Amino acid sequence: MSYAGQDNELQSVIASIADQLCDTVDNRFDMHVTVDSDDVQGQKLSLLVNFLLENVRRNMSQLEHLNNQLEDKVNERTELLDLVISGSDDGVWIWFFNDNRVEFSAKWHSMLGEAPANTPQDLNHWLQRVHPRDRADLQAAIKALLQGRENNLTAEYRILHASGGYRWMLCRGACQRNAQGEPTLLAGTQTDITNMRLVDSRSGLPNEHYLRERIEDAMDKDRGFYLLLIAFNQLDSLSDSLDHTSISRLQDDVARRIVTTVDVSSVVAKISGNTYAVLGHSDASSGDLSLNKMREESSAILQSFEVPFRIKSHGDHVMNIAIGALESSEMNNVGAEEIINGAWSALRHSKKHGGICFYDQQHRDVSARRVLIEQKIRTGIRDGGVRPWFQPIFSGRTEHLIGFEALARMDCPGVGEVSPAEFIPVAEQSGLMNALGECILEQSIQMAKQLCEGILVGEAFYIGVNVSAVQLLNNGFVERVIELLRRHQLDAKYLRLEVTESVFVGNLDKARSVLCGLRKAGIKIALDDFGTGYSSLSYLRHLPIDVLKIDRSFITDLEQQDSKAAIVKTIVSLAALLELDVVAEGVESKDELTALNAISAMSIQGFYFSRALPEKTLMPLIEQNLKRRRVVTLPARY
Amino acid sequence: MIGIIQKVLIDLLHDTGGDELVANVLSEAGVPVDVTYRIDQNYSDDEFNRLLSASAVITGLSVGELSALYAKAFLDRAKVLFPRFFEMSSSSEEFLMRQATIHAVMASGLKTQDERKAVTDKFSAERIRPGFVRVTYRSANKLKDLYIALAHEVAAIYDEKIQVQCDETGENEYCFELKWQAPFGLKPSDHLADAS
Repeated sequence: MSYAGQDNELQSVIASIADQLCDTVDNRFDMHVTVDSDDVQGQKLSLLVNFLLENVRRNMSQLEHLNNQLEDKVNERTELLDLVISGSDDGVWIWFFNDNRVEFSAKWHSMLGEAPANTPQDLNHWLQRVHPRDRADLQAAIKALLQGRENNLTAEYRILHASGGYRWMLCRGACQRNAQGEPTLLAGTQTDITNMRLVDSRSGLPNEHYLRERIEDAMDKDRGFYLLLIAFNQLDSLSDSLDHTSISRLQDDVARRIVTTVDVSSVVAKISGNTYAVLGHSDASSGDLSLNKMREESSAILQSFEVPFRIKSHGDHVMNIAIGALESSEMNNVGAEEIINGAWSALRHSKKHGGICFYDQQHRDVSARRVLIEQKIRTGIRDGGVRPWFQPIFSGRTEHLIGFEALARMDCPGVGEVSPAEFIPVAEQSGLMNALGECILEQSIQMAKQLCEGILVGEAFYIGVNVSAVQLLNNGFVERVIELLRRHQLDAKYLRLEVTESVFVGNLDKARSVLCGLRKAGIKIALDDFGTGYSSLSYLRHLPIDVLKIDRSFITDLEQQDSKAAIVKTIVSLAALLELDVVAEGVESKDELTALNAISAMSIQGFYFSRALPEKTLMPLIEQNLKRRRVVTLPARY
Repeated sequence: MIGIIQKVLIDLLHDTGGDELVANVLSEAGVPVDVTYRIDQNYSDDEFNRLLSASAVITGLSVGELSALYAKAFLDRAKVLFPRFFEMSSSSEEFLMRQATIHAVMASGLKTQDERKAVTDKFSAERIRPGFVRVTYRSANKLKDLYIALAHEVAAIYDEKIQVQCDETGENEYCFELKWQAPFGLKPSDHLADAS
């Protein structure tokens, strides 16, 4: 064949292949290209075109396979996710930022008692239903997530139900971002937590949270109401003697009796283990009507509990109750928290005096003072208004100064004198005991450091510091005490920690562990007010205690009462057997001191020697005692 | 089987013994003497087996000797027809890894749409580690000696040495373990002098 003939044949091959390849315009690659030519180069071209087509087919097939695998995976994951969501009973929401559209699942709508929406909705559909008091918090939580300050959205809020009431929801969500880190969508779930939040799981009654909401509602609507708090102190002691089933049944009976006694429109809630609440409304906004109804209802409750309860295997039992009652017109311009606190104040009073106590002007004054004292404690802890005074402790026989007990005192300008007996309970109720205790502890350590490097250099002494149960059982207490000693470079022998038996009740193992840790650090432990509590001898045997402090009730007029002397002798003998030191507290007279010295050598603390003193007046007393000691001991040295 | 395989054999016979040898082999194999093999068409595996056996009978060569001669002839032809495949590979290891794909894709590419439905690739190659490739060969043709000869010949093109171990791993299935002596591979430019 000539070159011209070859060219023509190759052109024909190329044209034929090109024509056949036109079929690929429809994405049809499943074809076989053929050429009618004996020319090897033409055949080669045909071969390689088929080669190329086969490669395309194989790659497409592989892509299709991968795509199918991916789809299967997506379907599988979607099914699983649907299952999880369906099992969790949660609603789902997705907020698309590009068009500000929010998609809600059918469950989300049904949680609010509404039918699924057919049209896209915006964020307002959601936010407008959120309770006005909770809306700002939800918006702030969403904003924090969008701005990247939080990784996840977690918010609890009330949302309006189609029935007209509100339901509590827990909302969780996360944000998807583009390559620039800008949010593209937000998605998450909504869980109905109404029951968990508002119902006491044990009794099935509404809890304090629900009570607070109803009070807020009444206040928002300017509707008069009253609040009764009913305490059953015997429930605690009965719990120790009755089995679980009997006590549960008794609690059910108690709740039922309240519910059946009060007006059907009143809310009965359980707000602690032995305290119930009744929230009633006046029929009109008149305070007088509300007041009358409150008096009638509280009397009816009191009367209903005169009928005994039948407890299996224990016979009939009359439950003594105390009622604290508050009528809303007694407190103006306050929140629900203050209303409940006011009712608690009345309840505390009724517990002391029995029957019903109505919150009035006197309670208001007491409450106001309590609030003021709480504020003073908070600021005092911060700025030094709370400080320790030091009551010296002496050796009974030598009358040498051997130590001090740090006692909290508070400067309260504008409030008048506030004794520890007044501010300590306030601190306990306000959850400030931990901070207060640590404040006193650190100042006492500073004082001990000052003394051991100053006026008492080379002398053996200690400062005892009271530690509350809350403080002792708080995680990391041992480490914090050790850190304070290290920070102030004070030897642990100068510090003694005083605890009462209440620390051990219900927390024996934890308390033992903490005390062992303190002792390991070289700190001695004193058991305060010994003889007044359970005085369980097993505590003395099992707990790491170094010192017994005999309560003042056994010391007062000891010389005149043989029984007291006998008890003190027994305690001293017991302490000797267990190798414990003894401190007699509350020694106020020479006769008491003489009687104690006759029993045994021991340490003495009390007004006979000195009251608790501030640092300023403490120093002269120490100097005086040191001088006397030197005068007495001089001849012996020569 | 792609027609280039038969075509190379026929041309080799022709170069060795002229038209007479070709005619004798075709006759011995039961193939029409006027047959023309195209490189862009598919032919039956059985036909090639018959041609190979007939070639051994007529020439008096052993299968091993015949395979070695054929392998060289085949690669010489491949270098002329498809030089790019050799340029693309910088070593015989790379070439033999690619060979499995080329063979599979080319062979299936030439089958018609219906034939492709039952296609199973004859070769698959797996690189165990540098200098060690495992090739699986599935075919009723049992041309394992031909593959071994081709592998050695490819290594020779790249001026490399190769050890080939063949195990029968199943009915109509063989496993070749190809091992190179370090250093592996040369540059493409080192191998193409002969082919150009």
